[in-house]
Amino acid sequence: MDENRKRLEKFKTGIIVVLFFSTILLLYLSWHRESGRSFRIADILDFMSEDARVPRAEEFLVPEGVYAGFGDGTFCALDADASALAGRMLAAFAAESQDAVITISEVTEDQYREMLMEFASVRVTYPYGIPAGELLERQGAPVLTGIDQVGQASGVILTSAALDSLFLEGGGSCWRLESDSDSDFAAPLLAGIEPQQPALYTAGSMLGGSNMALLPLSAPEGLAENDWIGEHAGDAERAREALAEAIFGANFDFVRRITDSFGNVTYMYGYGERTLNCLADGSFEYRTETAGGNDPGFFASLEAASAFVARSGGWGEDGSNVRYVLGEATQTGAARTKVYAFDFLELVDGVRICSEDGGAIQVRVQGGEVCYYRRSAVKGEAAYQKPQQAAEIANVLAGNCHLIHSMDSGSVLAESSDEEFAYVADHFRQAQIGYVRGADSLQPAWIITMEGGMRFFFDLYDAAPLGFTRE
Amino acid sequence: MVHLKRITAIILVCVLLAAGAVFGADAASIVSPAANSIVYTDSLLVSVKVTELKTIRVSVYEEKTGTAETMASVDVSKFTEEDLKAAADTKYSEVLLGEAALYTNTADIGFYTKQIAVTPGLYKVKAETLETVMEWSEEEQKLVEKTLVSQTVSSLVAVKTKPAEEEKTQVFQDTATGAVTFIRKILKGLFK
Amino acid sequence: MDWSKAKNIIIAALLIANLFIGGRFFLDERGEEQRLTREAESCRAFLEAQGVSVEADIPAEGQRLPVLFLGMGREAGQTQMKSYRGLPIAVSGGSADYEILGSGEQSALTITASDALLKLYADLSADGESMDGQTVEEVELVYLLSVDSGSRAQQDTAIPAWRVRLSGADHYVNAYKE
Repeated sequence: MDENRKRLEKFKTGIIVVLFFSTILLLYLSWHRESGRSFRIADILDFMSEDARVPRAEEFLVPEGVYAGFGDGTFCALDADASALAGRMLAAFAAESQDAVITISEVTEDQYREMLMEFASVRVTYPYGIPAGELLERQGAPVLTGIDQVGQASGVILTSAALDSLFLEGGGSCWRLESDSDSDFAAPLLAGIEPQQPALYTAGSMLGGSNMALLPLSAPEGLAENDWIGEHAGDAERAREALAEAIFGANFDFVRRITDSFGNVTYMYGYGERTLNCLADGSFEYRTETAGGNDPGFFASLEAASAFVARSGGWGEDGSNVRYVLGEATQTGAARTKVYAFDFLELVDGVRICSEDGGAIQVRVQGGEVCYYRRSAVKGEAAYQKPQQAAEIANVLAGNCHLIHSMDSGSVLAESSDEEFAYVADHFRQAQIGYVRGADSLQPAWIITMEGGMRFFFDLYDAAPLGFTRE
Repeated sequence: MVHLKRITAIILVCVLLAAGAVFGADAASIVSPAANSIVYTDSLLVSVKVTELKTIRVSVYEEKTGTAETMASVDVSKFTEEDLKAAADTKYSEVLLGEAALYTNTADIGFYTKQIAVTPGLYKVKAETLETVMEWSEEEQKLVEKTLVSQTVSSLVAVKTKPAEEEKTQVFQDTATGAVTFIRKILKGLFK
Repeated sequence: MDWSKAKNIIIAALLIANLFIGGRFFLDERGEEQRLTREAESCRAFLEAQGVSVEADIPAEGQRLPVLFLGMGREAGQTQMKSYRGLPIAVSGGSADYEILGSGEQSALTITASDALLKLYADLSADGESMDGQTVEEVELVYLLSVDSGSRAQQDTAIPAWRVRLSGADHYVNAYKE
């Protein structure tokens, strides 16, 4: 009897095991039929994966310069956290505008020159325009009547000529946002600023003319040439697959994959609605058709770009020597067809890297959706040597005025060198030191930005032309 | 024969200088400081533009009054632009600041730039275009190189003490009258 | 604890669960089959109402298929008629010389033939072309390789597509759900 009982219990255990596995099997079949495709562990365990860090828009909006003026025609670049200072300037105005009435008026050219040349000032400049209304609202300012007339702001100024006002400049104009209260909110931010070397002077003072863009006097520099390698050198295939998987998601296993004789790989979904080109040189280019949509605004579009890149290639690991800043931002079209184009520059050890092809990461956003993404980042380090005198920036511009004039104005004909130089002196906007990405090395260079956004690169020490960006 | 050679050398020099005067008139020009300008700074930007393949010598002098023992800076605190123009004809003692600098232009257009620390006073920036000519030397009995100045441009600038902020001319006027501002404030409060 | 009783309860519970899930699965399967058949018939009726003659059999179901990886020849030669899992490999846009390298790791259920026909009708109408008066001669699931005349591809991918022969002309509709 006991033997029979034991056998029965064993049999029951076997039945339980069989029924358990058949339940699993039936559940799998049901689920498989409903999902329509094989499941991927990654999809199920997605909640466990570490989300990539998505930088806020403000992290990319790093000013190209913070300049202090001392009321005597001299200026200097402030060795301060530019983003933080710009934030404080805007926040001070935002706080002021909560209770005060703000009047917006345009500043004349003479007033502009006087307020910067004759009075103490702090000026923050960006290499692109930011919608003024959004810029202020982002800091908590209320919607200001008439802010639309200001348009795109590429500079924020405080000056002791008007301590009750914030000035926004862009597109060749400057606007005064004046508070009617008695508090001089700009005063604390202007106090205590001391001159630093090297001194800067306006292009008008140094070269002749009336251009208020700032130029440094030559100083010894130590930036040296160094090698670079592709971001995913040695790991290109895995990086390519990871990027394609991130972009196409669940559809990755069902996209068309084309490899050509040069080693370029193209992933294509559908009949080209979405394509990802992975070039042999390590760069990637993704395009998709978007249906368009309501314009979410500059900051929302920038954050959409940030989130997309965070998922598809990332913004660099924490603790690495690489970071990205917004180098250029343009807008084309209107309403549902408006496209924001963002160009991100790569910095290694704090030194910006420029290239004739534009920024290392380029993103276009329409209706809040990314429609274009190009990535061509590098791994490298900034190198330094014994300081030697850099080429005088005035002579870099003078010696290369024919090249700059021809390419920037689109006209190779000019009456004289004087005419070419006068054009360059009038349209020059910014001179910075950084690296230019050559075929296999990073070359120290003067990076000259002209008013229209075109950039020219010249060797830092001998002013030899190294290239220029194409529009 | 010696006499003839000397005359030939003098004629050659005169011709070169004349040619230089005719064709090299615009070789150098002082961009900063602008001529007869008044500035309020303690560091002066000197910028000289050179439009020929020439060498220039740039000197900065402080104009002083008094004798050799009692030299003092010119009091420019009340100087106007007319005073500066008149000062060009006034005889001052010139004290060279630092050393004269040489700059050779190797392109169509070149700039010599330098920042000079200054105190209130009257200053002259001088740019001399240099020519190298061959001249007969009596001592060595042969033609030797000699550097001559073919053109001189100068710019007088008065450096004044920076006025206090309150003393400067207002750039902006108040954009709204008191009454308008008062009404705006009331409206804003009503619709807050 | 009375394990014997517990086992009886577990067996009963698992049996009930299996019956429930299995029964539901088979009922759903049959229901799905019937639904797909009705869809195919509705599609035929719709097209005929639009003046399109449907001579071909319209397969009711799709298939679960991966993509196909192909190695391309250096010189474009005569298109070779190959097949994979019983499905012919069709080439559009030119001729190509290729060999089958393998298939994708994952498979996905394709859309049905009736969905493909309706999509083709919509696409042609959007392009201003009418199917009125034409005849659907054949509807077949294939692997489609699209080639460009100047392509230097060394490897390419064939994607499942429905080939619809419409009055002698072949049209292809992507068989994966978009």
